[in-house]
Amino acid sequence: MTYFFVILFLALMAYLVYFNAVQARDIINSPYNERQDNFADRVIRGSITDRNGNVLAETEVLEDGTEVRHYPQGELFAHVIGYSSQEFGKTGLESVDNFNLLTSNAFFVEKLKNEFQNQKNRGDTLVTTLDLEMQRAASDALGDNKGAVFVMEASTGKILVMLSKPSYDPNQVDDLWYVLNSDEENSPFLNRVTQGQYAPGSTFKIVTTLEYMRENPDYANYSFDCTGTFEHQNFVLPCWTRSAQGHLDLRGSFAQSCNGSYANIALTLDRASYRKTAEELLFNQKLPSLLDYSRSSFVVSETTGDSELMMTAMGQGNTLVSPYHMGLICAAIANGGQGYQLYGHGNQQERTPKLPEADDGTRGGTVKGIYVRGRKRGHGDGFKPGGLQRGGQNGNGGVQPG
Amino acid sequence: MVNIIVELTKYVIILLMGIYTFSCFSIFLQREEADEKRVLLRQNVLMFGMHFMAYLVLYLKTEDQRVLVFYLVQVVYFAAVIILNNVIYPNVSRLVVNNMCMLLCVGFIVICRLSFVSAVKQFIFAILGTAIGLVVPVIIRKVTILTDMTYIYGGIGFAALAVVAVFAVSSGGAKLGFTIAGFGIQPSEFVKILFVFFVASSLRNDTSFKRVVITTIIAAAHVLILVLSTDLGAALIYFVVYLVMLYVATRQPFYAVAGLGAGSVAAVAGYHLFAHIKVRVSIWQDPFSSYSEGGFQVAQSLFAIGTGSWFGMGLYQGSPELIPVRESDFIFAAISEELGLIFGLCLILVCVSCYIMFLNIAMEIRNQFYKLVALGLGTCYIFQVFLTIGGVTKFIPMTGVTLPLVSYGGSSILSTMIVFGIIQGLYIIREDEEKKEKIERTRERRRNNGVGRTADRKAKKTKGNFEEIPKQRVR
Repeated sequence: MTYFFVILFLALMAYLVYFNAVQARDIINSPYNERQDNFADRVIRGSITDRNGNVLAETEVLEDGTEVRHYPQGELFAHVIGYSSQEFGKTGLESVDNFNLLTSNAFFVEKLKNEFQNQKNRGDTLVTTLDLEMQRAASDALGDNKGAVFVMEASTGKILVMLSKPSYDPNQVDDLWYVLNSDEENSPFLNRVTQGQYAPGSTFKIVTTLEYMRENPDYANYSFDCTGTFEHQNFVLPCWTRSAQGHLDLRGSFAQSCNGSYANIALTLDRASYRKTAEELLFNQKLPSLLDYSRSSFVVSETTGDSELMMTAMGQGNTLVSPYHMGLICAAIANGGQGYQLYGHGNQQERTPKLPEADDGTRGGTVKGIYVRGRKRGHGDGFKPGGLQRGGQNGNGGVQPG
Repeated sequence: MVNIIVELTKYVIILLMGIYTFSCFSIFLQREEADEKRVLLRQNVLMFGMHFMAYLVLYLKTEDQRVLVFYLVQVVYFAAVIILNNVIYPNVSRLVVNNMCMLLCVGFIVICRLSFVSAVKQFIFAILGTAIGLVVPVIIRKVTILTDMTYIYGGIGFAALAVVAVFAVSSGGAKLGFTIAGFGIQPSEFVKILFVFFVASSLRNDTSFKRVVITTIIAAAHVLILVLSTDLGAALIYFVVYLVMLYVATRQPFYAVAGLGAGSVAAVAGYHLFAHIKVRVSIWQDPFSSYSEGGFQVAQSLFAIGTGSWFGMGLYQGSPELIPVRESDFIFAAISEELGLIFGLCLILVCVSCYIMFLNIAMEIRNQFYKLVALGLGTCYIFQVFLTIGGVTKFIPMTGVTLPLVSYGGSSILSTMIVFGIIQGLYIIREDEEKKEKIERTRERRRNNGVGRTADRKAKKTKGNFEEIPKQRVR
């Protein structure tokens, strides 16, 4: 009896210790926590840097004591870093890591010294995994097109590049906010990497391939003769090269990105199971993300017609996905079936893999094998340095009007 | 400069509280009465030290003269409580008195920081409670009829709860009580005590199946009417208290298992029947996704505790005004935010120390009725502490009960001080029992003079089991 209450309280206290030691950091970072802004009275907001220490955001204290948030890279990192404005709130990492930026973990003697001199402490610096050089290269390559570039280091889940265009200059947010916010043609505030919704294009063939392999353990024996077009029930589908690609196995179909072959595969697939696989890859689900994002949608069901199914299998149809999500899937496959949560954080802690395993190790490995081969053999010229996410497939997430 | 004082006192307060908490438990190791007295005295010093530090900060931050006056009045009050208890009742447990003062003191500090007006109101209730608490031990000791009023307890208690269920205005989804002259009265806080007395009186020397059935029916009626007025926290407390008392009175594991089974079934049924239980559970699972549907309460509480971290922000350095119902149900969050989680954990341990003292008297006292009363009130107290702190910290779903003696609330503080008064009364009764036993023993020895030790032992055995309160006292 007595033991019952003793155990109850021991459990409660253990939980409290655990909560404070482990969970609290994430919880107090919630944008709902208005407490954070009070810290600004006593702490100067910390800087944000890329992984090599290049400053992406810093607070300058003017002679009269006013603090100005300055973004040296202008619009280059506008979406991922976001802005921090008295009037218009915070976005991006400025919002996500608000608490850390407004907390000083300096040595307490230094903090005491500042207190005595009536000076504010400096908040912690946030070191991201982003890379200034690569972000710049991505920006140059994208030019004036609307679109997004997302580069993730597959083995760790570190995000190196997150670029969205059109962009805006966060230094001018206070002056231009209303203009920027009402610009519906360019929607410069939209982070196209995580919030953009596009037809995945041929990149989606990854999902289709995985589903085919799950349904057919003898997928190695698959064969298809490409004649340049594929016909099914009065529905004629030209291959992307508009030329016959001859005899293809599954590897070949993927490497050549043969639409005809995928239309052929689609007709054999079980619709419910196809949807289940897509949902295991987080379509229609929450994504692991610190930044705001849009959920991807995959709408195949038992009643979906053959033609729509064929279109879906090759990434057209009604499927919508964000470049970020597609990047996660690719990175998961490149990593042998293990996914990672977004990690733009300075604390070099690896976050638990949240993306469910694409498949058991062997098959994930095989998809990876095909995938890497596709890149070598196929038409992966759009491949950028370090950009595992674009891999061999030329998706059109990159340059689509949004 | 003030910031530095705030920063430093923060650590001093934690240190004082830590030592105090430690002495709450280390005192059990003291063998000599003089050592024990020394520890108890040191506890008083620690409490006054903490009280001073905290009010120093409160004054420096508000620069309000009233705070200064209020502080001095409190010092007088605490000194009076400690001295009066020592003078009038030398036999009461001084640890219980000290703990009671400590909990009140923490309450005064935090509530005063949150709202001066509430703190003054709370203080008035504390004085009232102390006055009642000083009379209660006398009543417990002198009024022997208390043991036999089984159905009067049950009847009054049930009637009071029924009146609430029918007439009270719903606040926050639950019908809790009435507002008279600006002060809210929450009958279920007081009926708790009647309920414990009812069960103790009913099961004191008859635990036949028939008796158990009758008692269970009346107890279940109490719980049901609380459920109907959607005061779920109280319903849960009554239920658990009854189970514990029933088990200890009968020593039948079957009853405990059956009770737990019935409770589980009722919980599942309640979950499906009442929408607000579902809401509470979903908030508990994820307060952030249901933020706007009530999850903000727990979410804000977690922000406060998390932001405060181990050492707290320091008084007036946090934003406890963002926590909903911060003065009563969520006071633990406000405490953790500004005084730190270490302080919070110490506070929990002080509550546990009170519980141990409740159990201690339950174990020692011979009279079955008083044994059950001590046990029931102890369970009531500690389970309420568990519900409120567990709820605020998202360990269990939020039930909306107060932290006894610390939370703001007239009914809560009055009823808890009556409970503490009753426990003190039991300590006095125990002292009487011991004296009586001693007298019996010496008389026995005198009577059997020369017969030898064996007879002495036998006599003790037959005499050891008396059930009545000793009527004869030597003072």
